[in-house]
Parts: sequence; structure tokens; C-alpha cells
Amino acid sequence: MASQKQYNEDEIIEQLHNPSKCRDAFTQVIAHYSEPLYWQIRRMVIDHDDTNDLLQNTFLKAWTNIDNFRGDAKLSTWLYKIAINESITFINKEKAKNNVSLNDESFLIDNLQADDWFDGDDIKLRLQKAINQLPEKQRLVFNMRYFDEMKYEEMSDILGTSVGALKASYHHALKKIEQFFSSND
Amino acid sequence: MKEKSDILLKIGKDAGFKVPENYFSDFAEKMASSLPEQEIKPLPEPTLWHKVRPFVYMAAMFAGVWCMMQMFNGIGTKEKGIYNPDIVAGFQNEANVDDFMLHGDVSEYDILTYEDSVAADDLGSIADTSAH
Repeated sequence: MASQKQYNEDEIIEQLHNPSKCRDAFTQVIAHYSEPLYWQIRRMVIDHDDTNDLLQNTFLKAWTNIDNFRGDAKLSTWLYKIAINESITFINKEKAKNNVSLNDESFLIDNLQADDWFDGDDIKLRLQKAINQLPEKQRLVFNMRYFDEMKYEEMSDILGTSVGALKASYHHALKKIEQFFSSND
Repeated sequence: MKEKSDILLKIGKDAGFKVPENYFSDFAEKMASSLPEQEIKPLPEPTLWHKVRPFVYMAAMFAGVWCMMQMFNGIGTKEKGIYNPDIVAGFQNEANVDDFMLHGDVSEYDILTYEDSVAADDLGSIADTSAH
């Protein structure tokens, strides 16, 4: 993490509502959360430049709506929600722009092999293809659980889905990925 | 439930994505400097109601539990059998109890025989009346 000061979430939340300290506090929030949020967005939209734009939008939205954040939920939950909403909105806009069906998100990984910011080998490229064919919710759950190792309880707060349903989604996602690899071997 | 498939164990956690050098530190710096100026409203001071609200809710909850206990207690007492003494005395008085209940062992045959004898008596009395 790039934060220089010791990050204390309770203190930060208090400072976010203090007009004289909020800017400094939000700078710490950016330093603390830019990396996990970046990876969350990147795994959804794949492209680095799009991710960079969406990450900026996420923090900008959080900053302009900081008065609405009362500290009832965790700051990370609130930021993840904004980031995921931004990503889904972006993907839907891209679908409309590319004139593809709602369930087809293959356009996201069409140029992955030629992407400067992807250095994965063939098997990693295939994993991305396998993840990409999952329904949106299963893809989100898989990425959060497998790559971020996020707890189901935290995912439940972010996605507004029960822990049981999330476990089932993850299980289905695993099965589909296994099937993808076995059918493409 | 299996958390990882064999293929995922083989691939590992690295998705193959990378970022430009110093991307995150540069991003945080640039993002912080590009935040627009805005007026942040301090959180309003909590009112007296906000302060006492949890205690009021707790008191209401205990009152509810107490009321429920009273209600169930009342039902339980009735079940245990506190009877109206007038009704009990009424039942104890044999004069108030129907004959049928006292002679419950009278069979249907007895009743039919009784009805037949009454009918025969009636016919006899009618015959006597007509003879006069």
C-alpha cells in the first residue's frame, strides 16, 4: 500500500466529515484503496486504460457523495459498490456501442493477447476466456473469491446477496471453468 | 464444497495482468490533486432523541416481553382450572342434572319397549273412551 501515514479507518471516517481534514483523509483513502479497487475493476473490464478511467470515476463519485456516507456500512463496502456499478455501467455501454447481445461479453477479451498490459501465457489467456463466458454475477463472485480471497460475508454486503447464494454461485463458476478446460483440451 | 479445481491450482492466482511501473503511487498522487473543491458539511450533532433512542427501544422491547409473559401466564392459570364456584355448585346439585345423564345405561331396546307400552296404553284409553 502506498499510504505513508498509519491507516485507521475509524479515524478516517470521522475526518471525512470534518471540513478541515476531509481532503487529507480522502487522499489516504485513495492511497489505501486504489490497488484493490483497480484489480476488482480490471478483472471485470480487462483493459488497463478503461480500468484507469473507471477507477478515477469511482473515486470522483465517492468524493462528490462523501456527505452521503454516514459510516453505517464499511468504507470498503461502499467503495466496492461504486466501483462495481461503474464497471457494469461501462460494460453495458460498450455492449450497446458494439451492438452485441446482453449475454455476450467476449468483446472484452478479443484483444487481450495483443494487450501491452497482459503478459499471461496460453493457459492464463484460456482462464480469462473461461471466466469471461460466466454470467456476470458468477464472474464477479469468482473474481472476488478466487483472486481477492474476499470473505463471503463481505461479498454479501457488497453484492446484496446471501452467503449461501454466493457459495452456490462460486461452486457453479468453478464447475463451468472446469468444463471449459475439459471441453477445450 | 471444493474451493479450487485442479486446473486453478495449476494456474495459480496470477491472472497475467500487469500495470505500468509506479502506477498505484502515481495514481494516488494525481487523483488526490485532481479532486474538485467542494463544501463538506460537518455531521450534525446528535439530538437528544438520537442519544436516548437505543434506551427507549430497549425499554419498549422489555415492556413487550413483559406483556407477552402476562398474557401467557393468564392463559396458563385458566388451564390449571380456577372455576366459577356457582357453576361448580350447580353441577354438584343432582336436581340440575338431566335424568338421561344419570341413567346412561338405558339401551335403545328399553326405550323402544317403553314407547310401545305407552302407545298400547294410549290405544286402550282411546278404545275405552269410544266404548262409553
